Amino acid sequence: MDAVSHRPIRKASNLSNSASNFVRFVKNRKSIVAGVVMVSLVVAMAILAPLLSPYSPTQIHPLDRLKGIGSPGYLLGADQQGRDILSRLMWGARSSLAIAVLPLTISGILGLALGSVAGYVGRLPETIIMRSMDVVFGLPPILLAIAVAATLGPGLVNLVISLSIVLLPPMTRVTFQVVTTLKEQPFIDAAKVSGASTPRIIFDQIIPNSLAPVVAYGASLAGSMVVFGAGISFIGLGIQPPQADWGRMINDGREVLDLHPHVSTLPGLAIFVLAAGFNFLGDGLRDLLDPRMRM
Amino acid sequence: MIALLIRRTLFLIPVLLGGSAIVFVLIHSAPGDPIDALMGMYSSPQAREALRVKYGLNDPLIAQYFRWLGLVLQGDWGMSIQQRVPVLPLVLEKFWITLILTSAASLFAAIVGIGAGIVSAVKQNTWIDRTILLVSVFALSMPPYWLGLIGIFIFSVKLNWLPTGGLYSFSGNNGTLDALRYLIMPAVVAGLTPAAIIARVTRAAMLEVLNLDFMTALRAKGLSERAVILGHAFRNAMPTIVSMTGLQIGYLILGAALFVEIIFSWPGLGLEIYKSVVGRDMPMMLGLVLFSTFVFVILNLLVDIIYRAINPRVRES
Repeated sequence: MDAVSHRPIRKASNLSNSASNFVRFVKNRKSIVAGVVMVSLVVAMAILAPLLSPYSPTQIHPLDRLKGIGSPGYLLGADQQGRDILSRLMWGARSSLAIAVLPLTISGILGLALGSVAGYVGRLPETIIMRSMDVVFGLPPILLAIAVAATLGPGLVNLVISLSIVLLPPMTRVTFQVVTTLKEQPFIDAAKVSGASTPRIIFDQIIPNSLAPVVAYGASLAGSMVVFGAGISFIGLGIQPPQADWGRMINDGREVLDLHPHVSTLPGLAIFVLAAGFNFLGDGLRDLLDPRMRM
Repeated sequence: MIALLIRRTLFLIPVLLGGSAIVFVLIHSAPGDPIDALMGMYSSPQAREALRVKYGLNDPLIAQYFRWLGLVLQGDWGMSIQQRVPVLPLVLEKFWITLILTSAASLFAAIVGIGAGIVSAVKQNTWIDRTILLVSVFALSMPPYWLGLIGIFIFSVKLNWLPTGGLYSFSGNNGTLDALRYLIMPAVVAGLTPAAIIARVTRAAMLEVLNLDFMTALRAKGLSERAVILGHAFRNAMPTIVSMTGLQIGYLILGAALFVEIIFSWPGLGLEIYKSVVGRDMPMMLGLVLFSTFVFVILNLLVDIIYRAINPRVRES
């Protein structure tokens, strides 16, 4: 899915002492600022949709079908059924954000747990966990997600489940790589000598210290997840009509592309803005949390 | 090297077994009871039970899996519900059509991506480098299904330069030039995201080499800048670039090409997957997924072998 998925992530600087780096960083790097602005714009749209959207996203106005951009009452025009595109974009921001953030969070938490156990304990748990991840990792990700989503049936929850399954192997592998270098560090020996049990060490030392590179990795994937998740909605397996969803809106607008291009291109622009925002943010976060992977 | 080849090839077995098991579980958990389809809703419980026994549907799942695997290995991949034809021959036919598109897209992605990556690394921190990086982030964020629509709107609807989709025209002479007109837009759209990723990886790999001491030594020896960069820096960065390019081609065949085929009505595997999803044609869809898994796994193996063959640092280990 992304360039970084096969590169080992080295140990990152500690989150706490990078607080002062952060201020310096934001001054130097415009990309992280651009990312925050673009993502915040979409988040604000999603949160404020009930207050700001001019109409309900599913409300049909048969007389106002295919109104152009800037028509009175329809700032961004209306679709084939006369639904207000601006309102649908605002409400659709919710599912697009959910598709990007939820699978990354779920697979991140599970991957962190599995990767820590496999990396720190080693032996049999490592073999079982890592080899089964290798099998899933060997499958084409987009098709796996489509097959799982098609089997579970359409809907946001099922889409989130299928994307989480696809993301779990890379997340586990990245954690595993971080943990195998981490466990050679002196402070782990110190914890052992002081009598800490294995679960204690994993929870108190391993997981907190591998968090930063895993978060950086997850952030670098968020942009691709927006494009990818909306793509699955685009083929009809995500959020179901009449609910507003960006990927779905592109597909619905395809049939009127020649005369009313705004119907399908505006939701695409929204996907692009959110994905670019996440990609800028992901690049920035990676530089911040994992300086040795700087592009 | 031979031992490694054998070891890597043997590793295909668990991956393919695991992959096919996942596909099997998906078939099995798909909604609907096959007995309903065969006998209707109003059949007697005794008759239904007899049929369940006859088709082995009461057997343990693992026994059913191996029986299914046996059929798959013999080339019996079931029938497409929508098209009423055997799945495997149809999948193979569509594969070649997809291969045309992905080969063209891969070529585009490799040339543009590696070229841009080298220029970006050589001109590090100049406006050229910054522009390439910015364009690559944009290209990475652009949904291929959206870019395709914009391309169709500009080049087909407004300018009328290129066809909106399909494989070739009915009226044209069906020559190479005609086919190329149909190929160019889908190939560029499908290749853009991989090109961006390849450019970023190439840049990073080149920078790593360019900062090493032997670069200075080569320049001190009097080598031309061109020889230093292409003859030495690029050669050293090549294993990373090649393996990432190969991986991207794997994702491309199965990812971007899927959406691009839908947008441009390119009659390959991707369009077939879309039709099977829309028409709830599970045997067809799972056949497509199984076949693609096979292609993906083989391709990854090839990439790994090439990576080791051109990288002396890992060749011996």
